[in-house]
Amino acid sequence: MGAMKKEDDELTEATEVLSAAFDDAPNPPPHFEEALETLSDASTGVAEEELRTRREAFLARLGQGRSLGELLRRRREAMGIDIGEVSRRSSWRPERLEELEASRLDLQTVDAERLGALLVALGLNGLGVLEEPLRQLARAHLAVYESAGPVFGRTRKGVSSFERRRDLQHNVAAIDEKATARQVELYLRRVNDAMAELLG
Amino acid sequence: MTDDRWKRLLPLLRQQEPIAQGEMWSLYYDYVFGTLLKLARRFNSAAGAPVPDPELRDLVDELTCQAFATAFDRIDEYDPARGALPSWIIWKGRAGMNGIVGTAIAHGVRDKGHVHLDDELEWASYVDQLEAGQAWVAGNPEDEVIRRESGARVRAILRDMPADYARALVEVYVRTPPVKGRIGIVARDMGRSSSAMDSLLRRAVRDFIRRLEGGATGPDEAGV
Repeated sequence: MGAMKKEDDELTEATEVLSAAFDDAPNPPPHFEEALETLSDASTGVAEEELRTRREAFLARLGQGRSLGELLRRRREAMGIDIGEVSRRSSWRPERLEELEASRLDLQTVDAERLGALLVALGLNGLGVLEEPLRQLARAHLAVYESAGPVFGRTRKGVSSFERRRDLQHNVAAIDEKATARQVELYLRRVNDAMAELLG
Repeated sequence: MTDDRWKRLLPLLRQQEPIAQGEMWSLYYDYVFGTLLKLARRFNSAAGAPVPDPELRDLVDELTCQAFATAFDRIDEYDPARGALPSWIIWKGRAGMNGIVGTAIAHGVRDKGHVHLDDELEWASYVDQLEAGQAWVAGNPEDEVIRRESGARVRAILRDMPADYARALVEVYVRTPPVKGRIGIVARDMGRSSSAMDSLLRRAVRDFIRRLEGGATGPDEAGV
């Protein structure tokens, strides 16, 4: 009885070790995909709306804290191409691409359709992770101010056009949040439409 | 069977490129989430479904995020010759199933309350549970027969054991599914440290085995 118990303990221990090794293995065992196929036939019954909400929440997290320019630069570098090559593929001027990557480009001077063409040239087929950073940038650059009459100011070296606009309106006119939101959504829709059209 | 759109993204994923990570997520979230949800539902059902499905879906969503994040971080370990990338991500999720989903299931089961062996009413309720059997106790019909035959003897031994030995055995081995870290979960619930719980369990198991083998029938001489 005692010997049998010892054997049982050893077997349990060995099984636990094997199980832990199985769990920690970097790769699945053979036939894992076949096993998955048996699971994938049935529907989960989860509504498409719920799936969409869950998908988008993680996408927003992936883009959090990153600028549009930084993300585009990393994409280009991962593709192993230089600014000149992107310029040839997208018909963007190299210096404009550099400004965009360095977050110095005023979105008010960028046609949504041209931005869509650039994204397609970088191999994208939708905004995906870029959606939230682009929305934030558009909120800052395409802000619509409540009317306060014409405001004049000089251009200054080292100050971008959108910074100048923002500074001139400071304490003069408040941002019209609703109009800005409409402007931003329209811009994003135009970028999306342009990409869809180019991708056929 | 998944498609092979991931192949186009793999070189970019190997460079930790965030836009490609987002594309991978968008393309395969439904597949990975759906498969892990099916596995989690089986796991949950086997434990008597203590976790409601909406909560289970939230847990599996968290598990899916973790699986993708782990896969993105360790993409260098991925070998395309051994299977499709989405399957590998599911494998990463499956490895985390015990931690995220298993712990919730264990807590869900345990939230139904403790067993107080010195309370006759609680004891009667425990006996009902033992006779009804928990899904993770009986794996097949043969086990079920053995379990039922040995149930009466086991109950007699548990009743004769020191109360906290019996309670430790019941809480860990009967009322908590076999998930990683279950001793720690029970220890917290019983207000003990993990090492104290582990020590109590060892003594309880030794005492139980001695009684089962026809040894002591009275209280353990070693004390509680």
